[in-house]
Amino acid sequence: MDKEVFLETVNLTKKFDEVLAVDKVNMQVKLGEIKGLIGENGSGKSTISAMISGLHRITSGDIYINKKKYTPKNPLDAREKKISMIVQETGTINNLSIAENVFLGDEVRFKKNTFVNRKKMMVEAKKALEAVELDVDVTKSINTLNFEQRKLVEIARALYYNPTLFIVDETTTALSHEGRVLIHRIMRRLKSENKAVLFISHDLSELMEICDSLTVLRDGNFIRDFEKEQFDENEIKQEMVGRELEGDFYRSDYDGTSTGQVVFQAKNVSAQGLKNINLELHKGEILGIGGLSGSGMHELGKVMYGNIRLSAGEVLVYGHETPSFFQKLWKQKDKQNTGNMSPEAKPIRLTNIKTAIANKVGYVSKDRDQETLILEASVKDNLTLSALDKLDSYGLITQKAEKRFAQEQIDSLLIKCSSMNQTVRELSGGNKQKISFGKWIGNDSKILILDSPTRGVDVGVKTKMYQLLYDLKQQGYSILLISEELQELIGMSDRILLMKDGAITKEFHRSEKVDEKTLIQYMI
Amino acid sequence: MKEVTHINGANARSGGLSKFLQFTKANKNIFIQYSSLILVFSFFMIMSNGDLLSVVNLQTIIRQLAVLFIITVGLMFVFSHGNMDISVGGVIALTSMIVTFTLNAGASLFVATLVAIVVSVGCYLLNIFIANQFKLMAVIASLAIMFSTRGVVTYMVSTSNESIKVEDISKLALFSSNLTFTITSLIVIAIVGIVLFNYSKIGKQNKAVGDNPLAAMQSGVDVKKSKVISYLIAGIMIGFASMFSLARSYTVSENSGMGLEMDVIVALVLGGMALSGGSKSKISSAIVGSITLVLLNNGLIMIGVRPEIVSLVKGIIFLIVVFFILRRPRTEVIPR
Repeated sequence: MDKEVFLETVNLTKKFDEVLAVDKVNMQVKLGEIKGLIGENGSGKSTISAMISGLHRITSGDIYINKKKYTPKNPLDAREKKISMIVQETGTINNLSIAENVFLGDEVRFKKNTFVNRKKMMVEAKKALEAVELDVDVTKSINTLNFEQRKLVEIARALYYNPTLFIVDETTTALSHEGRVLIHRIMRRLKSENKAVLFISHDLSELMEICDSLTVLRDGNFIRDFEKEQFDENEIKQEMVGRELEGDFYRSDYDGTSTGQVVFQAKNVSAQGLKNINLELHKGEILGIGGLSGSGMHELGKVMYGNIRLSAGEVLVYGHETPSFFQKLWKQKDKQNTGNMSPEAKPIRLTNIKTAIANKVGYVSKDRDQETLILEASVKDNLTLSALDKLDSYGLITQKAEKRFAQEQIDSLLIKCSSMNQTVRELSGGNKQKISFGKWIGNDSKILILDSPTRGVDVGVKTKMYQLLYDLKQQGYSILLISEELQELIGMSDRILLMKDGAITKEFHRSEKVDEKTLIQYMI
Repeated sequence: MKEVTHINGANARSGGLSKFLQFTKANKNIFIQYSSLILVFSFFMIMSNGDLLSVVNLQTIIRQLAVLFIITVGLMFVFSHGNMDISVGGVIALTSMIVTFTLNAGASLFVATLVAIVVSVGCYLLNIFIANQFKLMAVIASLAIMFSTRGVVTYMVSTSNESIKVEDISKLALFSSNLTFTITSLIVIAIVGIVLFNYSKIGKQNKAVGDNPLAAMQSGVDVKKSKVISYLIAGIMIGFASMFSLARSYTVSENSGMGLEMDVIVALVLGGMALSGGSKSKISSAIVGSITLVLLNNGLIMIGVRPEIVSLVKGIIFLIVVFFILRRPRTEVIPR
């Protein structure tokens, strides 16, 4: 039974200035099929979908729809051909109502005489949102919705036009487990209605689960097609990266023992969305925290960093009292002594970010680009910002000290940048993440709270991140690894704590027997 | 990913001209920063046959420069974290008035200077307190400060029978006629500004807050404190500047300090500053910009442009500079 080809690209090419983003790609999307498009960051996945949906002009090559040549000039052309796309970035406009957002750019549809028939628009919007199971008051402002619900509004908008080709570009990385399940269901429904779906992601396991066939891209080139029967994780990964992935993806040992020395602790902590949390982090331990995105695990990270006020309980960090101003003046003399966890470390109540940093606790937010990095500033400025106290000698911060500090981090973490004065915005996701690690490592932060550290980075970089985490553990760093990816938690943690509805439901120790299925039971 | 490819594209482009264009583009702000100074300077040098640099005129320029230079350097700390202040004219008027009363009451110059600094710091701390407390944009709070300070001065001037002026003008000699003191002050303030801005925690945290307050906060910057410190610095410098301002006329009227708030903004833009603040802010913008603006004012009068149209000419020149700057992405110029 051969499926009918809906869309076909022939030698599709896109150049940005002189750089080839997509180089002579030939691929087919068939009706009644979910097609996956996979590749590392910068492999050209999004560029292809942008050309199909009319966001980018085609440099050379052709796209055929139903064997007819199709050269879209703008997204409206694509809509006419029944192609809808959901993009990675937010596509809703603040301060408009939900209904207005659903019919953005198509208000004409409700034109009655010269005015927009609001009532009809509301009714239709309600109908559109039913398809994504979003039950909200459509007259309210879009601002009342959270990020995930807004994404659903976009999906509803795309589905409203009853697309024959539905393109999903990296949307699921932004969604929680429930959101993903929903969008998977929508894709499968379209498939059963004999529509075509093009699903772009770098989450291989997700693609393997959902798709009927996969196209692998690398550096803008078409590499290989895989049919469902041929799916093999390692083989696909190799094709994506173009080389054998060295060693194991995750750490290979199953030694979950730690020194037993507690360095960081939460005692009966309750706060916004958290109920009576107790946890202990030991020296040299990777403690994984898992759960659904609404389980409170992200809040827990912030609580431990002193960013969210507690309503009960306390967070303790084992360190030294913050030196007073006069002690700081003498800091130069005993610089070597600070930062070491000496046996006589005392528990200190952590109530704000300042105490956290002074006691060598570092935090990398899930929302790295918004909360951890300053994109407009240089690599150097980003690296030094949290370590200004360390670089400060008698009130002055010299260029020399800053440069030495930044260079150390760039060298030890192998950050790829043209110079330390390059703006962080220009760097790739992996290098950005390295900078957010470097900020804390350079400041001798021995306790790292990492919220979704591998979010939005591709396989190659992920491997390096895991290697880095493991190295840090070996060097005696204590890591609180908060992640929505269960594989990652199982692969990296010494212990895993699972959360549900703001409380810890279960603790697992590192062993070969732990698998995703067992974990999920305690999350949902 | 799009971005990355664009950058690669720029790098891949070869050839002398495009390299030059690229260089120009990358250093656009620096070019604007110095080009306006160089242009203004050379234009008036030629037009005035070198009289611009005559000893007499240099002295005038330095006296004119004192006030604007000091307040621009002080306000740089406010502008760099993305805030804007338009109260400076009013604050200077109020400060000058209180200093006049203090001097007339028989206080020494030293005490009067301290009073000036206290009053000005008070105004600025009130400004940031209002902004922090009511989560207002600081520029709105500064509007309130502008109207109230100006209001107090206008009221006092209207109710007093004679004009408010310093009775013993010899007391202000240090600020009015001692050129060495003026030059030393400017140099010291420039150095203090540069050190605080570039080589201290204050300046670095300030710039970080200007770019991304959330990330700055999570990197251990106390955002509120950082803002208060910047207003404190501005207050101190502006208090000091009001002594120079008063020493130029010895009288206080409802128009004292009028228009200074706009001069500061013009000076910063002429100096190549993006008014949104952040890591691209440079203290040199304040220094170069205020010198450029003073040269411009002075030069226009010198070559005989009628005072009535000086403002118009300034407007046109400002428009030209803004034209170059406004072609950058909008977010860079407009304060958040």
